[in-house]
Amino acid sequence: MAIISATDVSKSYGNIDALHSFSLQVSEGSIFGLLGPNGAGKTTFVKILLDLVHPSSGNVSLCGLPTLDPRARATVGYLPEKYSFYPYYTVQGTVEFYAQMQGLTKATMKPAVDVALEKAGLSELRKRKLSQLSKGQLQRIGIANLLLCPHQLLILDEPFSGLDPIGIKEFKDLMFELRKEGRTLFINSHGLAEVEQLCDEVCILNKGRKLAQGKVKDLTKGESLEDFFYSKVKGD
Amino acid sequence: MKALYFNTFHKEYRNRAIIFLAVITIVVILTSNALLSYLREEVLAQMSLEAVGQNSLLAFYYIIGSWSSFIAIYIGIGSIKSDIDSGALIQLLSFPISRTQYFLTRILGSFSIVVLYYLLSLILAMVLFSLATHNVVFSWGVLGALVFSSLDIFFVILLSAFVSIRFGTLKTFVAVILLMMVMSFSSMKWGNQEWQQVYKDFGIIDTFTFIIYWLLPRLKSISDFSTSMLIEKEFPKNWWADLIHYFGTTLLWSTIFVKSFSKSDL
Repeated sequence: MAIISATDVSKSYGNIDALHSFSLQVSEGSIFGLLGPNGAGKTTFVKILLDLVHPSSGNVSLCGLPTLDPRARATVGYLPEKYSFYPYYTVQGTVEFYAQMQGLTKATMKPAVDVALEKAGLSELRKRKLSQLSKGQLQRIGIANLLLCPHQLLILDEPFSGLDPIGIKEFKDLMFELRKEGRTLFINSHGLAEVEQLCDEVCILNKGRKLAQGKVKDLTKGESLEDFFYSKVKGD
Repeated sequence: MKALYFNTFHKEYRNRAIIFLAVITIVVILTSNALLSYLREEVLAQMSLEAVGQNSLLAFYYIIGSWSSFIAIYIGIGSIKSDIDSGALIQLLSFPISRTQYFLTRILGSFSIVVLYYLLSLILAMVLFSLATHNVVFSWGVLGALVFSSLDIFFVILLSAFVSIRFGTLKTFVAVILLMMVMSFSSMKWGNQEWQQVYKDFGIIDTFTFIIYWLLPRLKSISDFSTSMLIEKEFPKNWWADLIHYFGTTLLWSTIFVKSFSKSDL
């Protein structure tokens, strides 16, 4: 079953086509990478998935539910590109607030928050205010949010931005672990090396149109993903 | 939704402008109280203690009432705009809540803050004035007036929150104050008109104020009900019609604002 299904999705901002008849199916339990240069329409598509932007035409569903239905997001965890939240919240307070927003009860919240903080490497920082954290540490709060619930689908927008090499390695390991648990990861990224290592399948988007989609090995045929991506985008 | 409702309180109790307004309120109460003690001994010796206390409370109610609109605009502006500016909105809407739930919960949270501020100020004033006059200063009319004032507060918060999504803080502040003035003017102009007089000499300003009078809540009338409760004066004839009009137009504008917010791209 396709966990993400988009059919003929178009989105225009005035005369500019951010997406043009874009269709995509992402199967359950995979790690999927959405690639493209700046302005390709990747962020627009992620925002459409989260119902933050409404498509001009076409249909999009998550886990079989149209994105317009808030219940579709009950199965989705989201990591934004630029993590930001109220600076006066503590790390623990923020994650507890997220847990409440995701409908966790008081009884289930504490153990879930403890596990999420532990896995995201934030246990020792739990009493710190967000204003006292580095960019990478803030990104880890977003990761803790993903780990609170057994979401079927995780949408990660530039997940490696702000993380140091240790953080990137730990996050990649975590992604493999999450896939083993049967979760689907949808990654929107510029990090071609990370995507090549992680993703089962990729889609390359340019100027709102799909240039290529398939398994990394089938597409690249021995080239690096970087070279394949460069030749595709430059040749468009 | 409970978490988001209480998060609105959490957001605002650190707000420096709100803290400043709360401090000013306490200063006004203490100054009024000191003045009251002085007047009681020097000037108002012939008045009964109860009357001095009640009159002080009424005067204080007017001061707080005039401030409450500014506080409502300020909190209304921050309720959604601060989430947009901080980037928290996208994270909040990625949770399984609808935009309607988000919008209305923030409005309700902001409304609760302003009413609570109003209520606590009045309780503090009543306690201090009672101590100064050695008499229990209390009037049910004050609480009744608070109920009507809170209707004004709700609409002002709703309007400020919506306008601030599209415009900056200062522009919203000026626009809402101007609109409130036009609404008051329209209420005064058309509120006591006989129907036979309405269509005579209908100019551009008349048309504009007439539309405002029918399409937006008659906040001046609601404010007059509050005053009537306060001074225990009889309510104007057909007061219930203005009240029904308030609920009808507030529901209409709430629906328009929520629909517009739900359909916008973020």
